[in-house]
Amino acid sequence: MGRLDEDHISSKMRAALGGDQSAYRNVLETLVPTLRHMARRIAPQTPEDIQEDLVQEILTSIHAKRHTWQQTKPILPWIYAIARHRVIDHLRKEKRSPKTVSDLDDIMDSIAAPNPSVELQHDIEQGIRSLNTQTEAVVRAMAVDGKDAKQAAEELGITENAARIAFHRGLKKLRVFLSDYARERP
Amino acid sequence: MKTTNDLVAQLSAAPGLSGRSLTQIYLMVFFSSSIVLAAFGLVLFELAGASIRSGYFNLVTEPVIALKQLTPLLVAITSVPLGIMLLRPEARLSFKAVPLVVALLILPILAASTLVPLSEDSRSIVMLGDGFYQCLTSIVGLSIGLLAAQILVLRRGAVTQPGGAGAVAGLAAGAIAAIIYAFICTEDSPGFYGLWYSVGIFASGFVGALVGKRFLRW
Repeated sequence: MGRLDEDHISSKMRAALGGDQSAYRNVLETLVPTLRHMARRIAPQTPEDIQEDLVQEILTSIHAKRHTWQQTKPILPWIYAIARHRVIDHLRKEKRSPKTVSDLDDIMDSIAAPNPSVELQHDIEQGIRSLNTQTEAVVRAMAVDGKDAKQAAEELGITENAARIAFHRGLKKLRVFLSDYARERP
Repeated sequence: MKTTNDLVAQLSAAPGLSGRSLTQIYLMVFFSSSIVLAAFGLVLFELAGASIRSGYFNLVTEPVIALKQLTPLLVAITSVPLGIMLLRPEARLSFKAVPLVVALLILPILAASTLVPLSEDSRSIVMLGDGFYQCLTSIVGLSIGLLAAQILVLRRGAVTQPGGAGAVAGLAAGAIAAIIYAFICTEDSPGFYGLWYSVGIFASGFVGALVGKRFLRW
């Protein structure tokens, strides 16, 4: 997942429309993770292959309608509009109880302009889960719930000193985890 | 099932795009279809015994007759940019439709301001004229050709508001049809043409919305 870069995608897409196939490939490959992420959020209960169908439908539509992008205009709103159109169509075909359109817009919007705090929260959560059980509990108590070392220690049945040490180790690990995580992103 | 990687590889092997932009195509189709429709319509009217009014170019300098031509023209001019906008998926009909709405209101306002002060008897005489039926069927009938031409172009676009785009195309087609009809129409009271041209244009817009909903899906 991760934020799509308007300038990068639009300049690559301009090259692609001019016949640069590797630029086009780059555009499509850049979109895939975001579209997967979106498909997961829109249809979390559906099997992965159906979510992947949706991703492919959106890619195919972007391809079929690529001449409708005006090269002087931003490309991301154009991409989201096509994705949104396919998603609505997909939900209609699936005949599952579709999310209300306003829900859908929230999801699309969050992808259109990813809320950094939501993404960060998600990443931090991943990081905290990677810690061992006791460190996780201490970090949650102190960093997430805002308790002090004494309260946390009492709750967890450890000494205040042990809580402090676990907290600092946890934060250190978390820092390493997050910087690795950030590097993995496109 | 094809994997997404295969799909990406397949799609990215496509050649680049060349040729005219959608905007150019829309404008070309709109203007050429309007001219063909005008020629076709006027020949048809001629065959049916309704010629272009004699002394037309003198008549059209009179304000009420000029308005009969210019107001539908204003509707057409304000709807074409909306049609072009709605070719694109991210387009939303919003305040950008204000000029079209204003243009659409002129004829009904002209009609109302002419009809309201009249006595009941003369009002119905002015309203019904010599035959509103011919006026309505001509406008809606002629508009179909231009609506169809626009729908074909819109289908090449990525319309995400099929009803709205169809309605805009229908209104534009109805307006051009009204302009063509005005060449042979001898009813010069705004109480007549303001009413029936509006009904014709709105009817075309309604047909356009239905056609759009049906044919602009993708």
